[in-house]
Amino acid sequence: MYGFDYHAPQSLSEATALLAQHGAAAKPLAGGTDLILHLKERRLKPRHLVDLKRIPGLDHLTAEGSELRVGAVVPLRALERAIAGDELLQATVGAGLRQMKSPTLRNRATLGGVLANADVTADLLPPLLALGTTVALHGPGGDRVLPLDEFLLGASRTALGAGEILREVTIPRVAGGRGFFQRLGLKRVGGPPLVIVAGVLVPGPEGGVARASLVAGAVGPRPARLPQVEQILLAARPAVSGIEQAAAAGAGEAGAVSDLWATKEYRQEILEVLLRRGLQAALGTGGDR
Amino acid sequence: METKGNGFSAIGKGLPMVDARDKVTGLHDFGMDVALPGMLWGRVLRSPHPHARITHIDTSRAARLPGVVAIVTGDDAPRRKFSVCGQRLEDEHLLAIEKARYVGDEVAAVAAFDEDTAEEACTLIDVEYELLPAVLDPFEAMQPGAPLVHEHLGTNVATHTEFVRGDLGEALRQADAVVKERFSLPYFHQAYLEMNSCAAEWDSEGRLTLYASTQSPALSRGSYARALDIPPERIRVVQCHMGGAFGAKLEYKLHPICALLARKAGRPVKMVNPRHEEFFAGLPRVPMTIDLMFAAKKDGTILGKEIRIVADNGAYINYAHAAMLSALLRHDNLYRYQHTRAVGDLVYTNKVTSGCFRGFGNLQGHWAVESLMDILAEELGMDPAELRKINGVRTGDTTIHGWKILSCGLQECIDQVTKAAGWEQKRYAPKPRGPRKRGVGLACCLHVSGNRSFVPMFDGASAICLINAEGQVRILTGETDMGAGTRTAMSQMAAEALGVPVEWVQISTGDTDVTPHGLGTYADRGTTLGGGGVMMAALDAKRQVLELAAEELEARAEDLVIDDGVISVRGNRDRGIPFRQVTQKAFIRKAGGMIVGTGTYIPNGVSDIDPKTKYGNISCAYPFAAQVAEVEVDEETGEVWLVNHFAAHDLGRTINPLAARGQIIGAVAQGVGHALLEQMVYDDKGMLRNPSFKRYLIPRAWDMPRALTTILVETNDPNGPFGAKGLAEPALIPTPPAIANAIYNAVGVRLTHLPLTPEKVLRALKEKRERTARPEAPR
Repeated sequence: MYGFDYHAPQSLSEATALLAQHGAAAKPLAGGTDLILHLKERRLKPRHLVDLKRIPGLDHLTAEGSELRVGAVVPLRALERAIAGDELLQATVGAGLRQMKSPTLRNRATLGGVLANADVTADLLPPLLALGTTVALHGPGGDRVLPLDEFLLGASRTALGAGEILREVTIPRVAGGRGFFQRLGLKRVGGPPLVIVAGVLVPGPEGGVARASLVAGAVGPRPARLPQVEQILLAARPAVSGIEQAAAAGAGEAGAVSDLWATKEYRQEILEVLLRRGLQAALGTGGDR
Repeated sequence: METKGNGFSAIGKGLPMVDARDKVTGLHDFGMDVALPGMLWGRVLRSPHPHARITHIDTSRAARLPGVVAIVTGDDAPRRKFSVCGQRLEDEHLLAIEKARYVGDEVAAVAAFDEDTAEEACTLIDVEYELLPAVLDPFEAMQPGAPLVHEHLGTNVATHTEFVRGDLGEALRQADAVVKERFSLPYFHQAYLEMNSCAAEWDSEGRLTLYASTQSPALSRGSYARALDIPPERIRVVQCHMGGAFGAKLEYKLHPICALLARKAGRPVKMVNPRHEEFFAGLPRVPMTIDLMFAAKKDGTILGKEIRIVADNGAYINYAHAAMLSALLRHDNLYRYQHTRAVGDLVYTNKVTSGCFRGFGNLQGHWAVESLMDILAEELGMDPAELRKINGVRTGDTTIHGWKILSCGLQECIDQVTKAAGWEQKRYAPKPRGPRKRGVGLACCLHVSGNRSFVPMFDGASAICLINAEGQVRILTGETDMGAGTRTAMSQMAAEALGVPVEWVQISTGDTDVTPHGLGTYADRGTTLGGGGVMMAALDAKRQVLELAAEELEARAEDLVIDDGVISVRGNRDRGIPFRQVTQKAFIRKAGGMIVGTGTYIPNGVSDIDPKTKYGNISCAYPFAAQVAEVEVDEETGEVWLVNHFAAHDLGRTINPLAARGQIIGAVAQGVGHALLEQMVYDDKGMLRNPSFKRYLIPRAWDMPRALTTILVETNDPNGPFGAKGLAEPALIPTPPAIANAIYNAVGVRLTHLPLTPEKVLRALKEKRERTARPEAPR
């Protein structure tokens, strides 16, 4: 018989103790929109489910000041509401959220769950990475903070250690930043993405950019920054003059792979197109599709 | 507009489906919901290998698992082979004996106290396999020396079909233009919501009752009798409400396996396929590679057509032979060809068995024909709509294969759909600058209303009409409602024939102990043939009602009419009597008996087809359609969006416009899936790579166009009941070629292999740019 024990700890320490005690046989549960599917399809067979939703202090969302602090079990719908008035976050995180068309899904799924599940094709990852998101972890050995980039190790793999729980996600507000989110999938909305590219650019002197953060998702083994693209844009004066070159460089450096949905070559071509379109939109030269 | 002024009371009314309330409130019980007292749960163990010899099966570990009651393997199944109705090539055992022939092949089954235990027990059955080389591609399977899927046949070619009309050589000699192209389609899955399921119980006399959601209880009964090697009269199949089928749920092996388990367990057994097993071991659409040629005159007259098909049968034969025949033959009756030649090979491979899917082989054939029509139009410098109109069959034609076209709305469909779509303007408007280009494409089709060549026993249908003391009407039919509204249409037809309100009519579908043995709902026969039987039964009951009423009213029965439940002398409704007054009288006079009307509808002029030449009028009525797709194509990414769609359908007579339009909208969605999204992908090891809805992409609301215009063309067929013809299948058939033709109009690339993914579109655009950069190269 397949079965599991359900635990509903009331504190972080109780939760970490449970997770540490049962090790690989335990899985933390937040919204469950991914985990329950894994259970149903027997890809995971944990003996213990540790529900994090009743732990005080994991469901806060503060949007004041220079950053957004989001508790791990905050549903995506709440995040969506919290960023409604923020142009940069709308153009990046908001656009990623809109790929999840079903309101029931957005009401159920949590931000912490999306990150801890580490589906490398998740629409939210590239925008969050481009924004410089960090995650706070709590474990038997205490607390630590990691950049999201270091937290995500690969498909379904994260830096979470034994007994460790993702406690909070911090999304910085990039002052003066302009962002974009471009995606190509086989379906008009949702479904498997073939290419995602998200970017955050801060305008600088002489029409250049002072900061550039570009991330490609769903093309390679995990979402990744595109440092060559960023360098080209940082060096270009004005920045728009570097768009074509930057887009071409991005196609080469994203580590595109072939899979069921598309070939490596197609992904590279699309990445170039989407980078160009995204950069044009963010730098205000039109061309938004 | 269809609901008024057609001279009918119930026909043409846009009534909600009879089961709509139950469905939206969650009260509707589907086959999956059936529960029998004391039932066990069954699960199938399937082969993980595409081709392997089974050298040993050890069930002892599974048998020791607490909760396991019965385990069956090939040793428990009859040694005889079986197949589906009318299939002479019996090649299948109920459970694999000696060999497994595809990933998903049924090897053993377990019944246990619950689903989890049955599933776990399957993992504890130790099967020793000796791996054999698999053959996955039908062209390779036809080569000498290829591994044989069924050794005793000595070949992988399951059926070879060939027929000729006229003289193709003559067509080629006279032709001004010859065009040819290769087209293909992959396996498409029907993606019904309700998984295949079954509940089976045996009584102490060895009689089996199967509760199943099946398109045909009667065909199932016959085939399962052969599978279980028991007489058919020992089997009762009770039809459950269906949650979609689209052709996939004629006979299905899970049902007799469930019976086998129930017999061994001595208790009722319930089985439900998990979703992934529906993909691994369902009955998806027959994949085909189609080589097609047209020879035509300058004026557009198509003189000749040659079609060659290699079709992928998968591991066991189902109805793919008939699907291939449809692909080879059916569209020859859409245009007035004089010379045709058709050659088809249906080939075994170590993949899932291919079967029936809405449109049958006709979708495959039309994918090629309607694409090549546009290629020919361009070659001749003609408008594609004009070319189709010149060649299209018309009312009164007897086609090259002997089909009698008694009603034909093809021309009107083309005219109306092109007008609605703004064809002239959109087709020939200059394209704007920028990466996004729009285009429109047209495709037509014809289909059948019942297909005599498919199951040749008979054509037609019977029904029983019972009227109780309270005047309630119950129709017993052997046809089924897949969820498309067959029962709703039948209740409207019965009400119309009887002259009573629709709400007084209830429809009971198949129970082989109770209802007539209809062939079931496939080949668009439900409304036309099934409905014809219902109409005849209702008229028979009406005759009896009027005979009794004649005594009450002191008039002759032939002078009486029934209108909205009131029986009166024609023109004298004020002095009428209630319907119920007469039915109560019948009740007393028959000592509690009901009025029993029986009806049989056998359409005129339908013949069996000649087994060699394939000549014969296979159906009583032929529906026609024309659709225009409007797409937007991104030239930089290859993405295609269907932005508008227009569908005109000659359905003979609209029984229920709400249901008819719903059929068309649903079918177009399925067509969008075929055209742009869907395909079952096998790797080179014979493993299906996308057995889930996460990876098998069906369209959702967002993938549909904002606007979808449906046009119902009524041609009042002389054979169909109230003039009605089929609609469900032709609604899907023109959509994929209409989209492909629209893509060509938008960006000038011709795509021939479904689905038309953005990557394929972009590659074709690149090749086109390279061609135009070298203008001397041949096109």
